[in-house]
Amino acid sequence: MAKHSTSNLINIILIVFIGCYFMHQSALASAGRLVLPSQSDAPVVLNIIENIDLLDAAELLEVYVGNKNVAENSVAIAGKYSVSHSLISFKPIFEFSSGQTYTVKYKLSLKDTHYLTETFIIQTDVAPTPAHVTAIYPSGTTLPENILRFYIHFSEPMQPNVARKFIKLVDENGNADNAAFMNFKQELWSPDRKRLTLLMDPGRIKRLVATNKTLGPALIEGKKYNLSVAEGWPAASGNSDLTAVSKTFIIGEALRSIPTINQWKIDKPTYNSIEPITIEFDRPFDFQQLHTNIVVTTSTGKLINGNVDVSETGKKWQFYPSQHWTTNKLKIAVNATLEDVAGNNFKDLLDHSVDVQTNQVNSISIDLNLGYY
Amino acid sequence: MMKNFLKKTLLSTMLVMASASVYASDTALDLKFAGALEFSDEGTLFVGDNYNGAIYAFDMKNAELAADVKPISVLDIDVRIAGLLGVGVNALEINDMAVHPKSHDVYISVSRIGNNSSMPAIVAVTQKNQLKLLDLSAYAANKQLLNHYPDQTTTFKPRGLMGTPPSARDLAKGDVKLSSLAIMDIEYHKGELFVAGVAYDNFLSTLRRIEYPFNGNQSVTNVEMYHIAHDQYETRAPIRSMSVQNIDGIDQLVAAYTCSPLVLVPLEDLKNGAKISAKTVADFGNGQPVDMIPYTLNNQKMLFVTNNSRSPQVLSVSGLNNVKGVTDKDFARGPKLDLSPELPYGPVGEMVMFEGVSLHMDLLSDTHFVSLTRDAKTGSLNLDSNPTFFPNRVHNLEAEYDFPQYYEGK
Repeated sequence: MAKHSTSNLINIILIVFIGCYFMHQSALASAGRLVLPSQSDAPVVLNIIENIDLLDAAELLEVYVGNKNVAENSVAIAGKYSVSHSLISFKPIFEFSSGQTYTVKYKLSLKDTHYLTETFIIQTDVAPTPAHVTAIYPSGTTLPENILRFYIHFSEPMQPNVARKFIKLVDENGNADNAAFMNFKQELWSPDRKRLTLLMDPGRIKRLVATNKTLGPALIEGKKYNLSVAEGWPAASGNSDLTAVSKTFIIGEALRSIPTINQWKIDKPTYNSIEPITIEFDRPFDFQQLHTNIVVTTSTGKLINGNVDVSETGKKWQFYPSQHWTTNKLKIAVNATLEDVAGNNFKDLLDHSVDVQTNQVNSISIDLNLGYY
Repeated sequence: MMKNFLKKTLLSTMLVMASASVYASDTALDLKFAGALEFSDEGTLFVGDNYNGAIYAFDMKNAELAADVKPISVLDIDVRIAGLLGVGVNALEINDMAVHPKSHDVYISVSRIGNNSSMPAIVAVTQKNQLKLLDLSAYAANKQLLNHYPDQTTTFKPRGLMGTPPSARDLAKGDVKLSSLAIMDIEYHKGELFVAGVAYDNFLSTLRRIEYPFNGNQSVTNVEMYHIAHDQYETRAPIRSMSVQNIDGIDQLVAAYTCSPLVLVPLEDLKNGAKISAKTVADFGNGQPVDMIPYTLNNQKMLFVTNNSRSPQVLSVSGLNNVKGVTDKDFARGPKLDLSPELPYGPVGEMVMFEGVSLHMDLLSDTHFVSLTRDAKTGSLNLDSNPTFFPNRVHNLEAEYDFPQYYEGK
């Protein structure tokens, strides 16, 4: 059935209904005899080859829920027929439901012994997509041996407390490590339940303590691992199950030094432009923390509004100002608790021996003088 | 055969509809939800609308008297009703069921969900197993708004099972309004409607008493009762199912609650503005009652109480005479689970076999119940009729009697 011509045909048929009863039928016959609805409140219209009586309408045209192969015991949709000469119009009592498939069962003459079928669907405004993982951070393919966190971002809120069932860390020999992640009573969800934080068990990372001694580190330098989220995890709505996703990565050298800004490459914008400030790091930083732990101020400390863009690897940070740079003296303030992906911050290493001194610093300030055009 | 039946009925249904000038959706009839159903003895259908906070009465007294009531059976009833309403089976919710006292047709109230809205519908299954969508606008109708209808903002508080965090399904309860329990069950008795449900204030569990024909008179009584299994006095969760019976010489409501006390309330106590304590006489031992069907078995008045969490319970009405009410003084402290020796407590009768689970049940005739039954093997939902003396549905199982060898030599 040519669906494209539907609206034209409805127009033609409406004209016929309005009063052109004497119009010659062959014009319509050539344009197609069954008009399927494209909107919920539109009728199904059939033009048969003879004049008919209202009493015979249901014998010639019925609409069913579902796909073709109208089963013997299916029940036709309740609705209202109207008839004019050779035209039958069927409108359901309840409007057709968008997204639902319907089948029209019809014949063009009472003398026909066989029925024809045609299927239609009223399109939904928004096509539903199954729940899926939109990102796993850090996204790099090489991750340090002592990585502390993974973030899994979902397209919609997910059912909590089943993560352990669906998330697996598997080594290159196919062995799953069920003790790699911290097992809290409460999972670490963002308030909208679209982001799950997976915390590696620090006992496995910190050398010569706790599970590090009994189980060894979860990740070993030079080896390949796969982090997978299995299909079937129900969305919070209950209407959708997750499609499977996995991330393969190689383990590189552990990050065992306190981060320092001296290793950062900073690209300055031009004064009076809206170019971003770009910082490239020597190591990947925590993806979430990068969004909040570095801010831009004027030389007097006034916060400058703008948007932060973090590369998926966590190794590049960009700040786009909301307005043109109207001051040429800027400060970048880095919160000293900003952690690299191994949980090391500017004060302290996550894993160090007891005699190591920590840095007494709360914030690191970087002066930035913008050049003129 | 079935096909012809269906075709003819549908045809006639549609023609009736085609000849009517107006429909439920485009008349002043503003029914938003078809919930609890109850017929008067003469055939007036009462429909509880929990969205509007109203009870509608449709005059269906003019029905044809069934000469000989036959057992009704329709397989995949939910698929067929959904088909009739133009939606898939997952877009259908079945709310209640009642049998017309004259035609013995089975009326099923449903919500049809499509195009982001829920529409009420009532479908009749006739004595010939035919489905018919009722055109409610074709009947003389009137309605009675409920006094103290709950507000539209308070919703249930989600909780997890036994201390676990709430699941998605638990959280969804947080979107359900308390007002959706405004009408749980309707009983017609001698020109009055008794309506169980919740009212607006903190003392939620309420029995309403409404005169019919509607004249605006209604009384609202708050009901407190001692809950044996929970070991507490409860004022919120409403009565799920009830029946008016003569007990200890006076008309009383026999009422069943969730988890699962059975209480008695003399009708004479139901006065407007009163706060009463129902007399707790029994407890089935947890679960949620669905329907309470009075019937006669071996010349004895009985109650058939279905439950969505356990098999049906059959108790004799006379067994409720001279029963002492219980309070917290009668039991050791603390909640009582199913294995507690105190449960079941009181004149609960006996649990009977019923294969599958009945979503709704009513008395079809002197000899049969009709039930919307979730099949234990396939999960399909079927409308079936089962004899009142032994509604076990054992024919669905393979038992000794199903072996051909059993009959050899007999």
